[in-house]
Amino acid sequence: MTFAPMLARSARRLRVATWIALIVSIVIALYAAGTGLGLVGGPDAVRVTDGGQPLGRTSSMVAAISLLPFAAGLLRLIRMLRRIERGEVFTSGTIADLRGFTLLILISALLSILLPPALAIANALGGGPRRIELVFDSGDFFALLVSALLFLVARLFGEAQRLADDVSQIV
Amino acid sequence: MAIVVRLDVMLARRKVRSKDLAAYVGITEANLSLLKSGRVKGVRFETLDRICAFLDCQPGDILEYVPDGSEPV
Repeated sequence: MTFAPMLARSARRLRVATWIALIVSIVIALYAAGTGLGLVGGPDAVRVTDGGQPLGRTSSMVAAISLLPFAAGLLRLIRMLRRIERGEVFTSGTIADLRGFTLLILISALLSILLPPALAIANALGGGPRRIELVFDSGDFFALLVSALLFLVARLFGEAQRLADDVSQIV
Repeated sequence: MAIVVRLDVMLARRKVRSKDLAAYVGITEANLSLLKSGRVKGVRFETLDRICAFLDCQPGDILEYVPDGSEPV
């Protein structure tokens, strides 16, 4: 088997897995938003805490909000994988989708880090407890680092694609 | 662009068909057509060498520098 069909098959498998991940993330986001708005009872789908104390319903909203760009990123990834299946490996469209995917994942990682302390500050300013504890999980920072690295790789791919375009116009 | 490609003139002078030149140089007719119309970003020395060899001419017979704003000769 040559490389191209193998790549297309891998892309197809990954696309199916991404669809599943997208559906799961949408369900979680909807559930989190539902609990945050008080529409759905039961425990929070995803708990975001500050200093070990749950933020309550706001934590669900944080989860829902940070999952939105994540889900949008997965959609860009699905589009990119579909292009790869069609044999468009280093086209401008594929690179644009890769860049969009990495940017949205980066935004999602940033939101998951910045929203809880922002909400804690807003809560304190709005008459809540005066003491603010800001706790950052090293896992979040690792996710942020990986997302930023992926974004950089996507930018590099974009530059490589531009150079390839230039070379193709030299006879 | 200040560089004007005069390849079509040389082809006419030598009475050579684009198809034959493309085959000799080893590029597609589509690429040769792009080159003739000046819609390329560059020409490899290797390509220029083959063109000059086939048409028995100098690179200056094919490429001409025309400053922007002035009429080509």
